[in-house]
Amino acid sequence: MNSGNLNPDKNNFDENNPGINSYIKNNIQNKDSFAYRTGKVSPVLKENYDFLRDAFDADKNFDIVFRMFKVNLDSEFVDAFLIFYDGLSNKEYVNRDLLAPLMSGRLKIKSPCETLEDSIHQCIISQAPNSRISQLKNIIELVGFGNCAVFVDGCSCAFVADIKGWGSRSVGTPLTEAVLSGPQEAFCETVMTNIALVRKILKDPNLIAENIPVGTVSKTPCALMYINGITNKKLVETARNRLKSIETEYIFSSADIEMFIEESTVFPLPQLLKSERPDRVAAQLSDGKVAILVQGSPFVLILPASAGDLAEASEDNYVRIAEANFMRFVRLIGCFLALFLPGIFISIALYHHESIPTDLLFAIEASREQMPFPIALELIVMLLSFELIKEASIRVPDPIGSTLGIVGGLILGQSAVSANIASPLLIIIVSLSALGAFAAPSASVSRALSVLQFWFILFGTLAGFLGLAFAIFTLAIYLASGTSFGVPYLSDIANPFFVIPIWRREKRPRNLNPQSVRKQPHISRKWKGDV
Amino acid sequence: MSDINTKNFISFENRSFYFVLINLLTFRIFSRLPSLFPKFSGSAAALSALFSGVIAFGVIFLISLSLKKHNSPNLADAAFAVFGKIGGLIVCIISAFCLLLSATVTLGELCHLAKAISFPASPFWFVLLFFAVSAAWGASRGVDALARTHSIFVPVIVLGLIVLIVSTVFRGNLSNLVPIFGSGAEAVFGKGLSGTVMYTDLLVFFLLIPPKSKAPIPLKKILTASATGILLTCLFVLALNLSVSPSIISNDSFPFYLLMKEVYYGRFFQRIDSLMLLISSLSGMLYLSLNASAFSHVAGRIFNPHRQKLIPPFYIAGVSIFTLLANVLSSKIIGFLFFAFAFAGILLVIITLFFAKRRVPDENI
Amino acid sequence: MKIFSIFLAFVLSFSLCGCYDSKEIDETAYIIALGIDKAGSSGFNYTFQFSAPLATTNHEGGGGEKEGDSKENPTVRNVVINAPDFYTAKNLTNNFLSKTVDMSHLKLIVFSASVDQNGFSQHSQFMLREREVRPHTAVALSTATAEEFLKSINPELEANTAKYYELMSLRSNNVYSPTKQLSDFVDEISSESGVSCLPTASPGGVAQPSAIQSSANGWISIGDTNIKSQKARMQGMAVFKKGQPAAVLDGNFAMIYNILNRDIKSCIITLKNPRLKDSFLSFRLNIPHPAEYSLDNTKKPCHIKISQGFDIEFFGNNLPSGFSSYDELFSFADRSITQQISEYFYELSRGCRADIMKIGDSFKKSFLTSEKFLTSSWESMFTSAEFDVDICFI
Repeated sequence: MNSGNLNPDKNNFDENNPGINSYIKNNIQNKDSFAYRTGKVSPVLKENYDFLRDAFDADKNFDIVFRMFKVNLDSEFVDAFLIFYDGLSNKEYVNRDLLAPLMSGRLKIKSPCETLEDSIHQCIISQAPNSRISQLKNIIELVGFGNCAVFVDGCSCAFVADIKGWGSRSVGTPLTEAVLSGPQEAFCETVMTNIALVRKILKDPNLIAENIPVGTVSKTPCALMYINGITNKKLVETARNRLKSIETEYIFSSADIEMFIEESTVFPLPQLLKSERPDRVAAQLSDGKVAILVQGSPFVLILPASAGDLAEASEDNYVRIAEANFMRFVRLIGCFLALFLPGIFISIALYHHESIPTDLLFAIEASREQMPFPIALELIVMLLSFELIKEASIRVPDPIGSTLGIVGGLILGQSAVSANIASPLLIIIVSLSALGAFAAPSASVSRALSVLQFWFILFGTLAGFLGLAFAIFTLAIYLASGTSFGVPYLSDIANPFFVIPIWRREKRPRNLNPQSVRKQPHISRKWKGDV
Repeated sequence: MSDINTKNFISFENRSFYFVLINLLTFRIFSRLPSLFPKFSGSAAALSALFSGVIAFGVIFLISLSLKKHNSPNLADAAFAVFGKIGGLIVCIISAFCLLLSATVTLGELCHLAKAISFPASPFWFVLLFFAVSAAWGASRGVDALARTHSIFVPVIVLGLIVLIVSTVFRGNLSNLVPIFGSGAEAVFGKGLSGTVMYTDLLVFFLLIPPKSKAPIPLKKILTASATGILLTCLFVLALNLSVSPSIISNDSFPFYLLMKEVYYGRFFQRIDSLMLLISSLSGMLYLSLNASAFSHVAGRIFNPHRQKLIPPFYIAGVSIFTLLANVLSSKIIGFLFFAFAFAGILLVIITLFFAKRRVPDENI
Repeated sequence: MKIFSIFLAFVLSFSLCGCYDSKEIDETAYIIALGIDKAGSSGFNYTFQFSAPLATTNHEGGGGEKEGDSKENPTVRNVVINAPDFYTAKNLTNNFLSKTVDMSHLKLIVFSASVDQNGFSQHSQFMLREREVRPHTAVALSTATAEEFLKSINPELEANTAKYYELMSLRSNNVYSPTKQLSDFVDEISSESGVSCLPTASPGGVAQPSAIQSSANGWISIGDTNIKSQKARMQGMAVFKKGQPAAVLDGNFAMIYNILNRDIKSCIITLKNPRLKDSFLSFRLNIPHPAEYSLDNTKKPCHIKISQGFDIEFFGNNLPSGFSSYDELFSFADRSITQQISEYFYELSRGCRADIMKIGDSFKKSFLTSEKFLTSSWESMFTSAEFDVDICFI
């Protein structure tokens, strides 16, 4: 790539990174400056000032602030400027913690060994965390992330203070994983807050949060969290490698990361778990899994995921065992209905009339006598209508939401039956199936079930229960052959059926092959011997 | 995360091999073979099935004993180690024919059963299409995936069979079991021995055992699984004997279908034909996929092992064509060949593993 | 892998030209009952009774009880076709109906007495082998023609005639007629002796016992078979021998048949009070198990012992007139029931000459092979046997 007069050996900019190169190449006017040639902070303040004004396109960007000031150095004044984004940095901290100490005259060089840079650094650090950075590329990235950079004439480094002050949502309540009996905290869009939420639950010094920026331009901070000594090292390495090998300009959310690192995009079910609950993430980490937190997304990715994980809901851990097992049973029934009920119904209605009780059969026949549509078409139309209602209800404004519900449910549904467009039985089937999908513990699973049911409907229409057997077999084989970060997808298929008491969860899941298998002794209730 | 690459073999590390064995020993329930027992033995069909089951279990026990002393129990590998290159090739070719005939007969019977239950007007090729495509798909995903799928479906299949047996055996007529020796002791213990053909598909299991496994071979579990499969088959024949008169069972009938029609649970659950179609189809698809995987392993040893992955779809296509042709050929010829090769396959297993004890183990193959 | 998946999808697309067996429910006509009558020297009259679902769902039940009112059952349609065999008749129904005929909800098959041995055997075997027909389908013998019986069916308490047939053929419901399922019937008439029994079905109106007595086979009418009723009913039983009807027994004998087989778990018997004119004694009998038979063939003729236990309960607040104690009352009941059962077995043995109670099955146990049993000539032993009935009240 043409880099002008730059010496490639001394060029610290990434030649292959078009993002960096584009604004350097297009914006920088003075290509002979030290800053441009070396990519480092120049001791000449003006060079830095001009470089950065060009780099940030300050004439066009009205939210970038270049503030010139003079550092009061023991009755001597040195030119300086600071740079930050209005809206990303906290201006109060800028004034109080950066400008005030530097301009107040408290800055003194205490000994001949101490340089100007050391003095400034010591002066600022008592007020705000800061680091000395000489690479302009890094300074530009950090300022873009909400930090404030201070440049002083004569210093060959800049002082980047972490005084982020952007507006963000505070810790709220979970929207998609609501529970009645458990904690009500949810992740927010700030990755550091999210890490803190997990760390305050686990309180384990071995809990590692590695920062892996993803996105060549956006440099979105992603935290790879795992517990050293528990999590399988190969799993961590795989996750790290996959994150680091993502080559894209911008990453906007955890969904993008998910699509980049999952094994197969066309796999019918999610291969990574998504959670917005810190307690759930903490529990999964303690079992030996890895979590990926992405700046700007309240959904944390947990890997690896297997079929058994998809059946777990957070509520299971906060209620008594009998209730938890009953709820899980109901949930599994719901998933079964969502997936199979329409397919079973269409198979029986088209091919296996002998399976229908006689009374019901004649009732169905009487109701269908005046229906103009074949039953398969009617079923598909009803299912698609329900999907339309689901989609519309997400976007409909609150004030008219309830009214729309009444219109859709009562008037349209009732009218459809009265006009002999839809049969009542079919409406019941579609409703049960939809309710079953909503009973799934995770929104991704719910959506996946809604899509997968059409696979069974297709083959049920083609060949009845033989077609259903074919559909079930092919799907099961595909799931069985899938893996999530090396762990077979169906490796813990027996788990979803029972919730066991916490005092019996002695070992970590075997399929994760953790470093430490046992998490509690066989007798974990020491008081038991006293009774 | 396992240390052993078990993608093309049945792993002993999880319980899936248990269900594979049960399916291999019970899927013939859905074929015409159980009609051999009432046909030869009359009212002593259950006794004859029990006798065949005991013989089969004895054979499996003997084979298991020799497995313990051999560190390469995979039949194809053991054959090469024992008989050398030429002998190994011959064993592999015979095994391949066994698998091919078994798959052809199974596919044909599955299609006929499905047509008998619910698809009388559908052409044969239409029903065959579903089984063939599912088998090709299953075989292409690897034995590990197949074994996991067994652990999902086989409990359901076994449960369905138990429901069928329990529903019919208590409504049966005890007088159908007398006279106790039915058509005579010679028929029961002589001709009835041909009933052991129901268990000869164990050959597939021995072709898919991992050749050099770090995990010890769980002999106790193999014997338990075998006992479960054989017991289930015997119970099925007992239910058949109790509920269906031998005069109704003919050469062409499917005993499973006849027994299934006998189930009656009041006015609501009148017929469970469709559910039984589901479980029989699943069992058949599992077996055909496993058969194709075993064939690809054997054929890979005969030809180029690097092309092993390409073999299942062509194999299934070949089996489908044979099945369509077998529809027009004499069933007696096909039946004879099937029986001959089925017993030959198990004999190969016994002979190879018996002689394998005397060879130096760990020979590089 | 991608190419292979595409290839598989292509192959599977051929299944789209299928759906050969797909049938819409509203394009199917369901036969709920079938009647078979002999028509002339060859051929049969087949009465196909179809369910009319629209009428079934709108009908409130009740066939009307007006005297002499022959109101037809609106929930069914009867189509009578003359054909040489069943499958020809089934195909001919499509001359009358637009819908596909389906037999998967067939509840009742009614034969008429005019059907010969070959007709019974052939039709019942066809039905059993038919994919759609269940082995549990009820079978009955009409005292008139099957067509008349089916046309006279007009259930009062059910809107759905199929439900009526199902409930009628439930074992525990009908005390005075046996229930016979198709599989059992086929099994029995295909056996060496061809011995079986079927419930007799009479159409509404005056019964026609002469239709049975005047049969060329020379039947014996035992008990009161002269059923007079305006309603179609099932009462009594027809005994088959060598695969064709040989005798008709009345409801009382049918009740004894049900009791001894434990096809009913309890029943109420009414006995005439010998000590008081125009007085009746009612007892409830709970039957814990079927009767047990033991055979002593060392004697000539052989002795068959029938043992049955009952849990008996007398309906009445006080001891009836003429009896000094309850022991006396129950011993009277014992004697009466014993006598009735003995009469029943003698009629079966000497009259009908048919072992419908399958006592021979317990005899079979003493043989090792079927061949030896068949050469033992059980039939001649049964027809000359002496019966000892042993009743005990629990």
